[in-house]
Amino acid sequence: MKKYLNNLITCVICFIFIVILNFALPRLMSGDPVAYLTGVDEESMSVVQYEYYRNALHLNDNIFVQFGYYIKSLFDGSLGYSYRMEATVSSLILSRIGATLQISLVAVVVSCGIALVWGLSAGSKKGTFDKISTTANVIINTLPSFTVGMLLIILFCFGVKIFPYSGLNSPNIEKGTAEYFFDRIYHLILPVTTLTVTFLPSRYLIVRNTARAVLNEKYLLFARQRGLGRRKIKYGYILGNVAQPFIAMVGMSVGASIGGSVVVENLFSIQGMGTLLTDAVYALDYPLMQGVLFVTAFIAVISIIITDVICILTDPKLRRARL
Amino acid sequence: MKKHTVIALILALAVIFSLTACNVELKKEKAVYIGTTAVIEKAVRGEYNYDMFASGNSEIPLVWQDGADHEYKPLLASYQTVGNKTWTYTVQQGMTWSDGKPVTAEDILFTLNYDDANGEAVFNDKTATDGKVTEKKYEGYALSADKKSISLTLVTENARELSNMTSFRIMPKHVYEGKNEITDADGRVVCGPFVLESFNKEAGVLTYKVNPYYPQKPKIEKLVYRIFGNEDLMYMALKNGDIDTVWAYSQSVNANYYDVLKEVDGLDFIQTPAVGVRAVVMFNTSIAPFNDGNLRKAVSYALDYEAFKNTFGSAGVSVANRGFVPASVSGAKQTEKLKKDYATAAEYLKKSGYVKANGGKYYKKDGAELEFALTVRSSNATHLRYAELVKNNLEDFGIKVNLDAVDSNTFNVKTSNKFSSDNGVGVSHQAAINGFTEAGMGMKDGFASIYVDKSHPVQGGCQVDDEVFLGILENMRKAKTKEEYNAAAGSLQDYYADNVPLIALYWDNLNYVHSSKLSGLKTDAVFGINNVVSWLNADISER
Amino acid sequence: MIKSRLVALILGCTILALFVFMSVCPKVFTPYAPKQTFELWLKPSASHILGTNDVGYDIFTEIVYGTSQTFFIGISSSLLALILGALIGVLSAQNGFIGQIFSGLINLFVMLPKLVCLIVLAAFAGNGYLNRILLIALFGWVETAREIRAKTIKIKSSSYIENCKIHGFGKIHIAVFHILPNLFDLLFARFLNGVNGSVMTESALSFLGIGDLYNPTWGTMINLAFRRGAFIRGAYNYLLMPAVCISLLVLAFYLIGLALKKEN
Repeated sequence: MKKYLNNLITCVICFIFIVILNFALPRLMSGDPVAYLTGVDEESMSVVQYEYYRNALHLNDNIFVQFGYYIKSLFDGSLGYSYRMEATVSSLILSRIGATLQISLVAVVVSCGIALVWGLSAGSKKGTFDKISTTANVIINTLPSFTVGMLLIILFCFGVKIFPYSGLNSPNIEKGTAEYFFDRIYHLILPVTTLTVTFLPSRYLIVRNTARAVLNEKYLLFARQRGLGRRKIKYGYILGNVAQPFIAMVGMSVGASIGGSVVVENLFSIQGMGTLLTDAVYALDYPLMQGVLFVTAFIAVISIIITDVICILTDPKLRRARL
Repeated sequence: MKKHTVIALILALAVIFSLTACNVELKKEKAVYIGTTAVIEKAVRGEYNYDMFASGNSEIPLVWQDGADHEYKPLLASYQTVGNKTWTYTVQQGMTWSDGKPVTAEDILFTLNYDDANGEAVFNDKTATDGKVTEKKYEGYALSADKKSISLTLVTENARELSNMTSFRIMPKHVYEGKNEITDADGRVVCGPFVLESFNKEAGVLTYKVNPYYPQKPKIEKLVYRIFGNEDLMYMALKNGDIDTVWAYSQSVNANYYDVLKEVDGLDFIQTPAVGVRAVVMFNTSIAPFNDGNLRKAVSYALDYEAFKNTFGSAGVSVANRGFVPASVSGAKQTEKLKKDYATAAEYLKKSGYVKANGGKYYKKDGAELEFALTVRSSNATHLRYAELVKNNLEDFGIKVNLDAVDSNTFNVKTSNKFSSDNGVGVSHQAAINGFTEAGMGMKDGFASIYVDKSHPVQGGCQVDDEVFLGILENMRKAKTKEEYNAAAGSLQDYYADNVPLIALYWDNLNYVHSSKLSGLKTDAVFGINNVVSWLNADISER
Repeated sequence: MIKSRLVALILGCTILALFVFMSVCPKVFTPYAPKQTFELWLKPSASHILGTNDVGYDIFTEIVYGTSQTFFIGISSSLLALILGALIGVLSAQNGFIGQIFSGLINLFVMLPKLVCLIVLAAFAGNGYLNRILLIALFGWVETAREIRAKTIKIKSSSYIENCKIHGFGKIHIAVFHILPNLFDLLFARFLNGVNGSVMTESALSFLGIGDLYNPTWGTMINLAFRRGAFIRGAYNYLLMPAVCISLLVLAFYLIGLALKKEN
């Protein structure tokens, strides 16, 4: 119990540190953020406008005051205001985060699910199935994410023209209809598959190795001698041991998935949070950069906390200890 | 495990459903599909990218510049001038806002006053924090009695005033007057032939329908823009017939794709001789090593222009002249052609004391190698390739080049006055790779001077401020007739040829590509193929 | 040694040796100079095994000369990550305040979204070899640290260390002479794994455009292929071959690591 409490406290401290980091990082970059508000081709911004923006971005105040405004923007839900985009950061992120989550969360669920089933089956007994599966996964693990994406595009978009290669929807379908919903799924299949295939092997390997390690335990040998069916052993004993590391792994893979989504969004021309971040970096849009970093870190930390809590709740040792 | 089986089943069903459902119905409406790589966030007036985009269909400017003959023609308003000092704009017959209210000259006046109130020196001088005063542009105005015309009197006469008006878009007075914030719907009230019907941000699709109040009726019923994140995929969509044409500001087809697209049946090209220069080497003439004119000249004789021409151009590519400005620009002067001549280059280097030892790789002076950093945008793959070839050429000759590939932000900080001001350092690149659009080349005094002139508030990458140059600019500004202007421009090109503040790596035509089913397109010198006149004339045959 | 392990070892070493040769004596593999230009976009043929790219470089030559780039960055960043990881891992296994601080540091980095942070840091730090090596190492030490920490804790509680303490050996003496030697095989295994991680991270970064574009690594080649129209020309040789090389290199290290892993 104490270990998990410590973990939770560490999460919170982490989070505070990330908040500070989000604030500091963009300001380390050189350049004048105000200059980006009118773009390169327009005539120079007038002095009144320039002063206005400098004040609005609090660039004239010292660093602590700026930090204070940043913290305030976190609490009042706006996450700051992007003058370049003329919208609150939270509204910009909200409009894009749907796409990113649709890809990364689905990929997490699917890849972890497949990894669990496959890894358990392979780890529960030695034999050719295990050898082939593991070899296949090792090979796929060596492919970087963009390669997987490109292969899929080449095979399924240009080779056999089944799937669309860009965007989230076809242009001529009405929003809000059932057709729109299925069209969205149609467009999401390849991006989700890319992320799934990229992350599946490492998750499969974790499950399989944990299962294999348990396999050598004496009590399993005993259970088999006693005649317990293979299935009962698999789901009763091995799963129990695999569950803990598995749940922790799921929590951490959410953060990795969001990062992986940046590459996928790039490949498939999807307007998600990843592209929002790269745009913000190019234009020194401080408020937007801070906001995206914050949201990404927030999601990653929350998912770790949630999975840790689930771990605590499902840990029989702890449950018994509490009684 | 059950959970995952259920999810898998749903996904499978969805795939089957969507594959069998016909999601591409026969289009009953005449719609044109256009691909673009522009990034649009909110699709409301005021968003810079969107305004550039909407100038071609809904937020029409006062005049337009025909890409074919480079003449200015009326669009929203017709114009007259007295002595290039007083310009009278008359709103064309029948122009109406998309909410039904007529367009009047009061809207023009309102927009000018709005800009003035927001800090632009329109009717009043404006002073910056450092004391710099921007002089007002107009000294007076007069509205006609029927409110259809407005006469604006400039402080100093300007024969090129119309070039500013090609991007002057007016705001509807009755919507904006007295309000601090306006709704998205209000921000989409326009006076062009099309009006935004929907903006599906997630799909990256903007759909425009015909504005019923516009005096002319286009033949097509809908304009559908699809936003792509990658140029390659956009051209694939064009090749597959998913889109009918592409648009990227005034840039035409990237020459890289030209030969592939030329082979495709069903695609046609509109070619116009180029007026912008897509591949430029800019020198910073205010710091070492390129404050030394001999070095600049040496570099201009050390590049392999034939190789550039063969690697990057389309069908109409040609080696550029030393005078920089493409031959098809009105007022362009025939200056000496650029060519690779190692002997001449070596001579110029010798004048400044650089010699190459026998068997040595680089030119040296006092034991120090001749080297410089070439700054380039890492986000532009084509520019990266230009930089790479420049480095190859110069290293072969004997000058060491360090590639400085930076993100857009840092590039702007290093090469333009406006973005470097915060650092207090000023423009700091030694040499940089850039590309100039026609619009940029024509801004202010024209002939790419904004990129050369140190005192330009926004650009000024070459940092030139010597008296000869400033004198020529003065003459260009004071010119009362086209002939006077062209004469001054001629001496500017001679200056470029003699002093080499910048080099044009090649000249190329503009090639606009479109599906053969799409006809009637016109090119705009500023906005390329996405312009109002195009869409008013365009027609598309059955798919 | 068991047959399957031997096979893995031989296979891994062969591939690795091939790449090492490529990086050390590239001239053996290709007659062309690295920046020599030919006609653009040639298809694979006898004179150009993999064809040419958008500016006319021979693609196979680019891959051969890119090997040393990839190796250099992969190995130096993973060495750095290894040192960092070992240091922080051992420190975090100590009892008391120091242990807690470094444990916390490890947990912090575990939670940070890796790629997102790298993008922002890369934009700030700019290009350049040192920067990229530092960046990759910055996130590469985490796994190593965790495993080192776990193993150190296990060792510390084992009986022979207790024995040492009873004998009165100093803490540092124990750490250097008794704990560290036991970590060696873990360190070696982590190094091999780390190179893989570095190469993958580097390729992801160069795909997003962060990298030395004049001396391209394999990831940078794919980036340029993607942005310069390889899709529309069907130049899959340009797009995929560098990726195949990355995969082979990663596979080689994995196989060697597998063959040398001691059975628990």
